Amino acid sequence: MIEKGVGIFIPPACREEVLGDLRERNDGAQLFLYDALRTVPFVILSRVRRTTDSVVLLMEAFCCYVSFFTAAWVLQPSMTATREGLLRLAIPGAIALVVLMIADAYADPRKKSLLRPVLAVALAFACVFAVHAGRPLLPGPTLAAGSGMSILFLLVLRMLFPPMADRPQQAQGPAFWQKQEIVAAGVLKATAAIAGILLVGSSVPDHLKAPVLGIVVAGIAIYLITRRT
Amino acid sequence: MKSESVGQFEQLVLTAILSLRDDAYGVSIHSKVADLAKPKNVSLGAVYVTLDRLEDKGYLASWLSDPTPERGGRAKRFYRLEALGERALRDSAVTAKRVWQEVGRARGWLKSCWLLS
Repeated sequence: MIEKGVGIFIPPACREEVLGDLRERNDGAQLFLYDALRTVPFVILSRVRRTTDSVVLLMEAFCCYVSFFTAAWVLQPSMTATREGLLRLAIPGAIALVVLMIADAYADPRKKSLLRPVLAVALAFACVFAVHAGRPLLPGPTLAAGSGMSILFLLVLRMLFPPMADRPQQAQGPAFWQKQEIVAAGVLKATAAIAGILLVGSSVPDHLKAPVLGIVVAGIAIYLITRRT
Repeated sequence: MKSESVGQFEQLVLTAILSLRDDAYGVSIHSKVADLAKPKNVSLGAVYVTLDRLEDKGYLASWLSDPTPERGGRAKRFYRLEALGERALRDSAVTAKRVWQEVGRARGWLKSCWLLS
């Protein structure tokens, strides 16, 4: 009974061996449960890390934000004029992407299905609307229009870059080596650096912008010079 | 493919798999790593995370065995060191040896300074 309960929380891709190991290590139900509580969170996080391709996630996040921004720009222009409004536009996309990451981690690699990307995206936006029903995230029409556009973008992206569990594996080497983040590690780092600079820059007062910009440029120059030598 | 450097915990896991040979699966690897890491405590979750990471790097290969009754009819996932993993472990062992030689040399120098004074 406890084993079945614990098994629900373990991603199917590693359920068999993790449950077997926990059973072999622990005789009693209490010990089994205690060991499972200490082990299963690591297993879930590891699976999420394995099934998440950060470059594809970045593309998905960009598409979601652009969708909600465009919807707000057309239907609720006042939202795009304030910092709070711009931040609120990121919330539905963030919820959807977290659900998608978890859905990918819990996908069973042995059961391939063409409908899986569609169902995962549908589940993600069902969760967004469930959260919205409890506490409104955005004005209704903006949320609906933004979600519609996001769903289309995400479906196209997921057809181009299927989740890790659905990608065909090379004859020699793990599926991880097919991740876009392996191919485009430099792009990812550059994007993160630019986003970080812009985020920091937007919160610096006007009279400090010039010195802060100078320090950042000098820092980048020093980094590039020291890296080459 | 060029082998990346491995962390200390990764070295422990790779060493455990190497020494366990054909019996390297979750529970046995954990108990071997716990032995090697004494007096530090090692959680089974940390071992799983590291095994996944090493497999992603191409250092390990894994496969499921047949189910066994003592595990409630569940299969074991066995691990084997790949050539890349062996090379990474050898490289880190060579580095550790070099560091230890340098420590020995520095100790000898310190000792001679102390004797002279």
